[in-house]
Amino acid sequence: MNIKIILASLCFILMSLSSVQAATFTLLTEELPPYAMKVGGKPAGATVEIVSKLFERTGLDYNLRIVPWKRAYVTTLEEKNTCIFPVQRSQEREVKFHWVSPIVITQTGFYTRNDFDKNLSTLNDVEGLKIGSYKGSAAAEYLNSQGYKTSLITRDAPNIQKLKAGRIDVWAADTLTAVHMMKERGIKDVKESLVYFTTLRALACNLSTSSDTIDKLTVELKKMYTDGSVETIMKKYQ
Amino acid sequence: MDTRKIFVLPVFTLFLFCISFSPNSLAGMAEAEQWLQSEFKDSTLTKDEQRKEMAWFIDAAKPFKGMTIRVVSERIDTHWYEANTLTKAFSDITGIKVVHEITGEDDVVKKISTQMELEHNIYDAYINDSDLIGTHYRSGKVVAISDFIKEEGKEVTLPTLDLDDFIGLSFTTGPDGKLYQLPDQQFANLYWYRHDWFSRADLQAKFKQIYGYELNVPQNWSAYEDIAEFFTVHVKELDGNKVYGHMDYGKKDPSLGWRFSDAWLSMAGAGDKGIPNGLPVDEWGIRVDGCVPVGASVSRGGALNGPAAVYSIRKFVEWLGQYAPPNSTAMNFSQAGALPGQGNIAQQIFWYTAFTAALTDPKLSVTNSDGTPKWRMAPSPRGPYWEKGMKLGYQDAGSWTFLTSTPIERRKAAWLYAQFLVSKTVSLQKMLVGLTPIRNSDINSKKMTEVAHKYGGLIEFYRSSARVAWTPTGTNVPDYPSLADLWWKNIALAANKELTPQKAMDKMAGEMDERLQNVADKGQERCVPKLNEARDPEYWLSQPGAPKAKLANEKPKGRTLSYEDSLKAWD
Repeated sequence: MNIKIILASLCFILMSLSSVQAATFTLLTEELPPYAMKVGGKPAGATVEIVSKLFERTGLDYNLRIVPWKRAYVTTLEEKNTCIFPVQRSQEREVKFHWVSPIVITQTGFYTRNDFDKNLSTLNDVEGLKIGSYKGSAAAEYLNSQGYKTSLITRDAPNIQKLKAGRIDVWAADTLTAVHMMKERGIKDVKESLVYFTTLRALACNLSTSSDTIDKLTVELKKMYTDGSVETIMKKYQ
Repeated sequence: MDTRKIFVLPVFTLFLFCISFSPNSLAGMAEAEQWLQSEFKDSTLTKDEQRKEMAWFIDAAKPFKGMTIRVVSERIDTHWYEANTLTKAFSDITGIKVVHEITGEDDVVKKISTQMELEHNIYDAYINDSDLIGTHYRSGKVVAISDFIKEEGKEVTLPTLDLDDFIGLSFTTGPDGKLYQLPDQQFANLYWYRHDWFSRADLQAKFKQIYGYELNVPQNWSAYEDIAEFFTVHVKELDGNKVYGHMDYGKKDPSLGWRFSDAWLSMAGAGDKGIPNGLPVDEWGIRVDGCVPVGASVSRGGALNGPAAVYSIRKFVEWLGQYAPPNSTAMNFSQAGALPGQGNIAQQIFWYTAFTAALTDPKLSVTNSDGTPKWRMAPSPRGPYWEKGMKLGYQDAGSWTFLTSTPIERRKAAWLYAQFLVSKTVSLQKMLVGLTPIRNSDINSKKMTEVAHKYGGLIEFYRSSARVAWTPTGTNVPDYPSLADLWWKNIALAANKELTPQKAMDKMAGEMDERLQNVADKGQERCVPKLNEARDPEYWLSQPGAPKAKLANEKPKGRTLSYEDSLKAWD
């Protein structure tokens, strides 16, 4: 056999081996307490715990980083062995990633001041009201897609002050985030008026991820729901 | 004073007086009366019958008063009406609060699949397309409504529900004869055309001169193709505007799949005879042995890559490229749906009647100033492989679905809400708002006769014999959510000319067989797929029925009929 072919084959085998060993996943998320935040400089939070446990139980190595959402999204689209969470699946996004779902089931609600006297029981009831949310939020995305106008700012937290000052009538927010923010700030004069939408949020992985890996993660995630692991983690943050 | 009011008012006062002393004091009756007078004025029931129905709801809902239930459905006008108006009526009358979420059908399917998979209650009920009947029946995780109403749900089942009045129960019944879902709304895919253009003497004469027959409602794909060519190639412009003889869409997007999994292969004639779905081979090309799926590829007795299926995809690609507006290949369902209303499209072979209300907007150029449409809908043309006794088109039947993982008390409260939305008190008004009929009594009502002229043939279609050949996906499909993505992923390859129609369908049929095997490996409660051994396709092609051998002539002479005769043709 030609020596060049033997050497090339050896190189190929060595490279294949090293690529198997180097299959460490980069898991990206954004700062969104209590789902993801830094505690003592390290990533923590409900979805950080769920995804970390999922990879540990599946036996996959990973590095988990909190970065701005746009960067996380573009990196996952472009780089192999990269995943982003928690992402809302949509028809537009469906073709761009491989999916492991649901990492978490979230809800979105309308929050009003305690002295707000209008009864909100359907989406129609907020028509004509000034709704506050933040840019890129699922709450705003859903409302805009249904034709409702929203007043958006770059961060969610100031919406509480805007609501208290009467600059918005309704604050549309993720229920877990809203409760967390209000607890942190000692807010007592804002109430949940209507929980209007439920969302399944997924782990989205780069398209080069093997279906075998996605299947293993999916099977393990199901086990985490049935054995109560997900519920135990979520209860810590509710 | 109106003489009816002279009688109605004292009778109503007496009624309220009597119920206030009844042991089952009907606390919501005043609210019910308000809703009957303001919203549910049109009903096939008399006012007294409506009152009795409402009194029953009030009584049956008592144990659940104060409860908040959560349901989800897709985004169409009917469901918006339910979510924004009927939830309020139900809550006022019964004291049960309802959050009725609206989202895309793909999200509804993901949510119901997640709840089935995780056995974790996300919603108390789903309005889910009956296309999942094969999945639900096999899963063992969906409540059989026909059992529920006789057993634990007996006390909360409306005595005047009148199941025999529903037009879509055959779609929601499993192979075991049990009812697994209850239709909440239905719409069909029909042929859509500009009746005003087709009626123009100059265009009629020109068409006859070129093609040798009348410009009218096409009965076969040959005539559709001729008419498409006529408008795009020969007419080109009308009243100074560019016109096209065909409209469709081809973007690689999940919505591309609906067109095909819904009915495209059945319109070409790829499956077997059988209503609501072909047996043993259905319109997905899946063969069953009894209730067991045995394969989709021709080599296993299926028809997914058979000559009829490949012909249907070839025509889709050709028509999209040759006769539709130039950018339609890059469009998805929503983008393409808006085009017929803009006034440049002469006909569309696959048009969902859910767009009826949107296309009767008086501001559109396709609507007359009095609000009546310039367009019509008619039964769709048939492909050369289609034979009498086969399903032709698609009917979407968004249906109430209850999962075993929902706690029983929540399920009972949700069942009350479901029945309220389909009750005869409510259903006719709901049909007038959303134009998605579910009851024979509403379709044949005097009210619908009065308003039929506004809806471009919708009521005429639902009253015709043609209706029975328009059906949803059936029970041959064992796991709709696990199989459905194969449609858009593979058809897109043909639409964008990355693969020939034959190669795209060969690839898809092979993948469908693999997925059927995966479904079997994962396990189901009953009727689990068991693939036939692969053998020479010629064996199956030479047997009677589907998969059918290639026809020597796939383009017989075009045939058209007047609008009226196109409906009678199904008698």
